[in-house]
Amino acid sequence: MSSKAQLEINETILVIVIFSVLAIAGLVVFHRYNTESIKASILESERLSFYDLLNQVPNMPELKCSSQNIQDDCIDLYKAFGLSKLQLKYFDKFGYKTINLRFIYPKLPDKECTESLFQATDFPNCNRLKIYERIPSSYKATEKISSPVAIYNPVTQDYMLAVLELTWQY
Amino acid sequence: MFPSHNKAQAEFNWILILIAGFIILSSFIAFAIDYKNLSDRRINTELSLALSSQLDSLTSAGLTTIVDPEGLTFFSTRLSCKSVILNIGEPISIEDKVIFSSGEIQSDKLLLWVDEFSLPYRISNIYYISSPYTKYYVLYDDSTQQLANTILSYIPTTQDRKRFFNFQMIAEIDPYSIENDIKRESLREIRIVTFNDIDFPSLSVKTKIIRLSKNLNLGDVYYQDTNELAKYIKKQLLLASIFSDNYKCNADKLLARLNNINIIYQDKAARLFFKTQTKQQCNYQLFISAITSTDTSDIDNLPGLEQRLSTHNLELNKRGCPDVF
Repeated sequence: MSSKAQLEINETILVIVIFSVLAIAGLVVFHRYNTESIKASILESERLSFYDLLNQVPNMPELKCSSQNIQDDCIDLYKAFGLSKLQLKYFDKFGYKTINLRFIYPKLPDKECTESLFQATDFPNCNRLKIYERIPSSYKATEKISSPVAIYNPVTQDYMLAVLELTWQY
Repeated sequence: MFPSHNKAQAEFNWILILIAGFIILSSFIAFAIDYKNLSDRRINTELSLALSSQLDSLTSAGLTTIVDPEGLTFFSTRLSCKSVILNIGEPISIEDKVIFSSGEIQSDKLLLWVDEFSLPYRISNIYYISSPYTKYYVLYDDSTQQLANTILSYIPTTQDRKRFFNFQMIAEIDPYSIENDIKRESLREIRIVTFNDIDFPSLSVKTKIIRLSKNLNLGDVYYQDTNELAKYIKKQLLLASIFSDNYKCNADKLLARLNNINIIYQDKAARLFFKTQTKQQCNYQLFISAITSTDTSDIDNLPGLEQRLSTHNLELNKRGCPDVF
């Protein structure tokens, strides 16, 4: 075989190799793009579910206030304390989120509500209650949403105005 | 020398052209297959997400809806205790939702019904999912006709007063007649509800026999095909046992939620007791001990617990004490 022919064959082989590499690379990029796009759809759905939590949380039987089994549109302050003690059991429901209640009206001392403050005679004497908190070890983004809610104190039978704050780290 | 050299080169060129052609063709085929798989996966994932969000939006008890995805003819919905998968889509978590349905539904639309489970306070919404191609036969005899009628009365109806789900009462299992129904209604699954032992009929589609106790409020359900025995309470779990291939797992999920809510009410009662110590008439101990002394993992104990909690709550209210629920 002449050296010219040999050169032509080498060129053709090179073209085939380059084409194959480009075709495989294109396929990999396309596959990754589509997979990322599916992951983006799932993330978007998780975001919608997160927004939907603003409606779901105040309506959960674990929090919703009632009297003689007739439900009202408010959060029971005492049940919120109870739920805050069961955080581990609600990971399936809430995942990596933080749920807080911040009492707006009447004006209360700027303190986190704790068991010892609850036992004081002047309770409610605090303006924040952490209902649920689970933060991932590492995350890239944080989203925070809030909504006003009515809080019912079953002992004093008073209502307070609060803000339900939801935070999502992902 | 030269002609044979030219011939060899021509042959070699043809081989290279064939290899190049094969690679180019393979690339296009691989691209087309990958594109189809990924777009199917994407559509099905989006549909699963849409189904999950539709379940989220069904918050009021008694609501029914039909999921009829555009652009899909027959699709497969696989529901487990943890996730839902449409065709080859990604598994979408159903979180704490309690969904009773067949393990796999082949249909062009899904029928959804949401009901509320209370004991005595609200515990959770429960969802029933089926399809128009799943038929439920309730087998009765003279002694169980009233029970069969009661089960059918639990099924929601549409605006034109037809049953939302495909239920029918039958006095006997006639395989010939059922096969006719299968052909006429293009059925894909048969579920036979019975109150007595029956022989497993040989039918051309997936068949499940669900044997119930003669007490519809509290009893046992026996699945003849899997030899599985479970318990139900109230109409919600009775119906759940009829709709579900995965009854026990979902019922356990519901009982776990009941247990959590019991703990919250027990905690609330203890807090109310602490805050009303000065009022002698406010005795929350009975309420608390009703919860603590009951093993809620055993369904048999639940009717008694429900009765005691309702009584104590009413009594507290009558005495001018803050009620627990």
